Amino acid sequence: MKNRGTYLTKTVFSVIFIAITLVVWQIVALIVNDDFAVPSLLSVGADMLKIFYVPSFSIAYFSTLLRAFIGFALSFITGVLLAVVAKKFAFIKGLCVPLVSVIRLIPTMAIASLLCITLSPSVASVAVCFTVVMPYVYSSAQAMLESVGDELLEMAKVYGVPHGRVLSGIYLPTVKKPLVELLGTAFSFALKITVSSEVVTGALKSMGGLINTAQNVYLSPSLVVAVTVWVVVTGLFAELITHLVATLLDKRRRA
Amino acid sequence: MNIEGLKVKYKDKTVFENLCLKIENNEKVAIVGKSGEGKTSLIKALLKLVDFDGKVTNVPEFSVVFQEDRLVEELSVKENILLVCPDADVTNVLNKIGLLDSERTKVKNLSGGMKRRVAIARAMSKRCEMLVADEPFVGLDVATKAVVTERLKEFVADKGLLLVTHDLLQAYELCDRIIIIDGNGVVEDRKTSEFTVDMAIGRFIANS
Repeated sequence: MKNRGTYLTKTVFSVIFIAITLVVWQIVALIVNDDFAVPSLLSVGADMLKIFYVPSFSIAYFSTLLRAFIGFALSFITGVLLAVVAKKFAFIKGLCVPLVSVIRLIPTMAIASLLCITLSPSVASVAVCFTVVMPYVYSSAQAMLESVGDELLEMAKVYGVPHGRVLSGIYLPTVKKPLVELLGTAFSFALKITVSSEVVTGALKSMGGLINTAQNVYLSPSLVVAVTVWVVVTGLFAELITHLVATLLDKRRRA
Repeated sequence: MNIEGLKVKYKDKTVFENLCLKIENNEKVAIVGKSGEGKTSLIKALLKLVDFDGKVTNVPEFSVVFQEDRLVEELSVKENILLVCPDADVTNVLNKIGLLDSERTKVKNLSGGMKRRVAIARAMSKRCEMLVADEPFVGLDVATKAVVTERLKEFVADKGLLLVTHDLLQAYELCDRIIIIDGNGVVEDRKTSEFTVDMAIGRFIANS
């Protein structure tokens, strides 16, 4: 009952936050009264619908989604595996500290610019996504594994619990919910990075490419915002789905 | 079980210089002492959870109630027991300890006292030669403590017991022998029948 109340409160606050953001946006647009500087909600909404029916939009949308998914999948698998290995071997963990810090510090646009020299724009976008998202997944997965206390592992050792059961009975139940949540946040992050890198690499048939075209060819800020909002909505949808799955998993176990 | 010349070393502290103890099969022994005097260190050494110097031989098969509950919060009561003992008669052991209604409840939704009972039930589910119990009754109310004490007595009737406690009354009730230790080693080691409350209180006053 308490969980349901908390969930309801969170949902209500999210809706209120979105509503306030939209109202503020519209007020600012009305005050500025220049669609070129601050596009109004109406013009962005109209552009969103307009591009939705353009065939090249769906091609760009799904191409970007595919690139983001490949980058995300590679990052997720590598990041989680690396975190598991780092948990087991202290020297790997030691090696990962500077590596992850350095990768995290390199500006995304610099990575994109460097990679698009040697790689095709599509592959470069996936590679940029991997280099940025993988350290994020690694750090999150590592924090999850660290949340499994040594005391539980000592207990398992004393009771002679086999490794497989330690994994399925101690690690998995503890990290399952945050891991599923991480799937959503990592994917929306991957999508954001992929679109950003597509803008820099100039990948064809991409949401980043559409942003470039809207800005440089059509000189239409409302079209840029419309494409961006489609990206944001997709990321939010992914996060919402994984959040629901995580909550369902939690409830199923409790039942 | 023989403990000879035990010395437990931590980074900034050494507990015991030369602790020697012999515990017979099926003997019920209480280890009593002030906080920080090495009771839990002794248990950890026996369970090989800390580095130590000295010899520990003829170690029986242990089941353990840790000082902390050490339960997987995301698992149910039943799953926690099956995790360490897949062939346990969970219903029977939970019934004994008054937790049958909570069999499918996640541990994170239990009270502190209930968690303590789950930790005890888990230890009672495992076949062993000696039960090691580190402050097993912490967090239990008087009535529950009485029930759990009776169940523990039944459980260890044909086994050894190594009980770490501050509670001398519990030591009297459950054990044949009481050993008082301090950071250096054994201060007093007597059969419970030879051990008067006055002596115990005197020891504590002398040590404090």
